[in-house]
Amino acid sequence: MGTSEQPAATSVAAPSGTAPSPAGGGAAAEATSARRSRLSRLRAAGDRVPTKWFAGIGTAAFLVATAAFGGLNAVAAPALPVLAAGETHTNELYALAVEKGFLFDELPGSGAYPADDEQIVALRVRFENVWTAPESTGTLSSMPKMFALSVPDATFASTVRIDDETLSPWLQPGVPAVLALVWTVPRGALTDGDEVIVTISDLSLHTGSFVASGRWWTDPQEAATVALPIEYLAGAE
Amino acid sequence: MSRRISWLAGIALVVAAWFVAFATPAEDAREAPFVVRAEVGQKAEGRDIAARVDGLRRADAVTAARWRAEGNWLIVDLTVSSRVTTSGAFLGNATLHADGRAYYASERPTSLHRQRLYADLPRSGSIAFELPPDLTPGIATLRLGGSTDERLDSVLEITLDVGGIAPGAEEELRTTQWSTW
Repeated sequence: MGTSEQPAATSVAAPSGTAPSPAGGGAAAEATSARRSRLSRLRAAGDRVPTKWFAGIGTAAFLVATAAFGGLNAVAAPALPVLAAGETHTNELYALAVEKGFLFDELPGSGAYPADDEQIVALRVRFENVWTAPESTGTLSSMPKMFALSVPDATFASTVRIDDETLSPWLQPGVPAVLALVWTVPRGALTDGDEVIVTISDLSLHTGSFVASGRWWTDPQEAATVALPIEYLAGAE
Repeated sequence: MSRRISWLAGIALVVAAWFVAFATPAEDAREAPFVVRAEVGQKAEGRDIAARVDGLRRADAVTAARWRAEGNWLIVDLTVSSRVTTSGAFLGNATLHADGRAYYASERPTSLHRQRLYADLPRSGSIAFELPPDLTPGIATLRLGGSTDERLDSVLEITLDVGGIAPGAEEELRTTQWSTW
């Protein structure tokens, strides 16, 4: 394709480009003809470039252009919004506010059973389901995907209503509820007054197709952080 | 002449294809539940569930045994049984559809919700729905079945006129007990 075009293109370019300027013409005419001949030489050179190279040349030009703006340098992730304790974070599923953090040796009724070398971290979180259907909150639900603690080896243990100790309660749309989210952590990892950073992730609703059915919330994307002082309570709720 | 016929045939086929696409059921229609509709006070019978709504109450607080909670509650007094199985039959699905949203019967009080069902041995009791504080539903739809996975099984659908019920201060859930139709 490219090679077959070459002779035709040069033959077209040749007569206009190499046309002799009228004898005795002024300086202007000479300048025009020089510009024309330079142009025609450029065009002839351009015509000699095989068509197959165009994609490569275009790609190279694009890469050079993007490199000028930073190219493939790693982009710093935008910092997550930092919420104050009790400040409401709203996503598609919940309007939620992490209010307080507590450290316990044990917490009867919470559904968490720490081993001898473990303690319990409980967050008091106010929820309102802003979606159109009820959502469950147990360890197998979307809840553990939404919260991460800055404590190494923290394991999500349970969710419980603070008012009547219902375990893994369903959150009905539009109905506010205050829950304790409970983790087990290694004993000694935290003491009274330590600060814990809670990272809240937003989820997206997936609809099952083909062999899966139903809809569920998954695919967590970190959305905000809350820094909380931890208060040590000897054992009571 | 033949060109005109081919144009007409082409247009006719496109229109026919549009009608076919229009008439094709949705992908999940092949596993849609079998809906049995009934009125309040009327017994509805599905494949393996039968139920009758005995009454509706609204309350600002609900009690059941030693449990008590305030809120915007809708109580549905219910008589329910399975029809063919006793082993593994439950009232697993009690969903209220109101105002474009779905609410499950509350698991907070002990109620008929998620209780075992017995073939043609009806039990009566209550289920309670906790609604948003500001919601006063007019017409709501109650769906009852063995499982919240409603696919390919009977679902009883009862239309409830909730708008006309004045909320009481405190209502107690009926104790679940053996009953008759």
